[in-house]
Amino acid sequence: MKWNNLGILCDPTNLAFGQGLYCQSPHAIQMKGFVRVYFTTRLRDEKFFFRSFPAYVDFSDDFSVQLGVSDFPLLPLGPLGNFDEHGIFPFQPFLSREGRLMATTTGWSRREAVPAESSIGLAVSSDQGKTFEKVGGGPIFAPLHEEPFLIADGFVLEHNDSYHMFYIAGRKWLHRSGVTERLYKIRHAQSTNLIEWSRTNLNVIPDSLGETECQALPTVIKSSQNWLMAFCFRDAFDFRENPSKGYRIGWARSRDLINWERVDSEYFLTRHFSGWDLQMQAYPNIFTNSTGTYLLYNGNNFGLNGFGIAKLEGEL
Amino acid sequence: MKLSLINKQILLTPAYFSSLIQREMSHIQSPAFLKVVGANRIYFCSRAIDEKSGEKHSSRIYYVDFDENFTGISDVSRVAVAQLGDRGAFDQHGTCPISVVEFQGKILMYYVGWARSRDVPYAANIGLLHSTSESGVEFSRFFPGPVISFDQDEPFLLGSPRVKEFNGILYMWYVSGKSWNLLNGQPEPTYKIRMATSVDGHTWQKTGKDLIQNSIDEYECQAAPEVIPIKEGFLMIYSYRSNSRVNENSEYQINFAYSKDLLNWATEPIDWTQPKVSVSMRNTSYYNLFRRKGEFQALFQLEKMGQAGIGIGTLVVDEEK
Repeated sequence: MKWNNLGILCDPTNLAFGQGLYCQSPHAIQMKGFVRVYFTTRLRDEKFFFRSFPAYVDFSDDFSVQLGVSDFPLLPLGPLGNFDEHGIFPFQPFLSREGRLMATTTGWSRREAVPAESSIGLAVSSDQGKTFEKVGGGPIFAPLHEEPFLIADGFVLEHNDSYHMFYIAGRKWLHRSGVTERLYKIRHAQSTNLIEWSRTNLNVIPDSLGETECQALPTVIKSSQNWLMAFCFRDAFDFRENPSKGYRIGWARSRDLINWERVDSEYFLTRHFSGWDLQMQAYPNIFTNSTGTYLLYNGNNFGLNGFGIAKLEGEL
Repeated sequence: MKLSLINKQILLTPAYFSSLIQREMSHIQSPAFLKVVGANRIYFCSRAIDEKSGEKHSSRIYYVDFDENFTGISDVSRVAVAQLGDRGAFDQHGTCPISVVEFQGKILMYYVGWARSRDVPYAANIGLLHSTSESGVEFSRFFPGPVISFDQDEPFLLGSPRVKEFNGILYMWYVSGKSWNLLNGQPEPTYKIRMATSVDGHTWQKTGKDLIQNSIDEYECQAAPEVIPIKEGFLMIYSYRSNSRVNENSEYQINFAYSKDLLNWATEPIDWTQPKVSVSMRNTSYYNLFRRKGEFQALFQLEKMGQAGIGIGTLVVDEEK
């Protein structure tokens, strides 16, 4: 499999909203006659802290033409003290069994001893995805039992009358040389109604960097015989400054959505010649339509300069 | 029904507890009774300045063993019976209040874990400890995470668990946060009493409904819903206060509710008379009730959230009136 890396697709300084900083975690969904890519962008609040808000950009089916952008924000943050009071990142659209356009939201709230806590919320649109409303005020998926903190990145797909969610759960905070960093892994849960979830309570993706591998942003599509997952992974320490420790794209394959094998080398994504993703390739979203199979992702600095796109040569 | 609380007396003060364990402690909160071999044990939460930071306090769980008639102390926990949660955990900064229940041969302790936040003072959720020794001297966590979860209907602040077993089923009355409101620039929460059930103590089924009607206004805070069986049905004693810290109802006071089925509760008609009490005995809250010698004994914290310590009394329930 070979990716044709096409470089930056969406640059935050060209948007009609926001402060020109960050287009993070792109998620594409096919609409009638165009592709809509949801992402989140950051605004600085009155205390100069960042807050992430969801938005979208529309493209032609082959991503060659940008068509329009969302109203902003398309979903407000939560009230004081709520799980999503300080940001929503990522915002992940999916179609419900009844064909309703819904989205999971990862809501963030800041803490004193650690930077933040997160849980997954649910939102639904009744205007073809222009705006969304939250389903209830609280999260649908939050820390519980063996998953004590940092629940995030809920990717939902429907299969055989069941909703599958791939998400990440914080495992522990690691300490090394006076530095504390979080460790999180990809996990899996199932539901019939999107509200009550049964958790498998296992790390479902094998580590390639050992126990201190952090895994994030799983997205899954069906290929001819199997399920294919794109995600990103990095070492728990030193990832902000050291490019060799930064996020890169990982791949996993499964026949049953339960058991996964790593196939990173088969789908290896080369860096773009411009260097915009030289230090980091993060927050991937794999997407297929009639024009081909695409990988949307963020480059250096966690998406500070926007998101880019690569196209698969040939069939998946 | 007519209720009265008699023979109220102070049982333990922070100053006396501090002298027992040779450490400066403030507050004795959320007393919880457990009958152990040879003693009447009372678990409670007490605060000390955090040794690491040297400024902020953390609230932890201790016990004192009293003799048969609650007149003398026979033992005391010199250190907290459970660790605080790890960094980043929901219970990193405190464990208070608590509820103790014996279930299937184990001593279980449900507690509220606290973590300090940024734009509101704290986040809270409910955790589960179990005794690692038969004697209930040390406890460890069942899970690193909470035992119930926030959900679409319960967005933040799960707290005040009170767990009781009736007919082999565990019932948890707890509170769920409704809103944070800025009063004089300070975020103040509102929370209401709810219920969940469990057959194993780990997995809980919520009923998803506020149980107790407001006495002050819609912003009142309800806490410590303690339930006991009486001859006909069940009695709840709970604490409530205004969400404002400056008005006349800012201190917790108690009220009663009555139910036939544990889910539907009426706060009327109950005739509640409290005998005249000394100043330090006003504003008692966070009641824990247990049966002893055919009577309901009541443990409670004294004013200012237990800064004055805890007390004991006898609750007289006259169902004929």
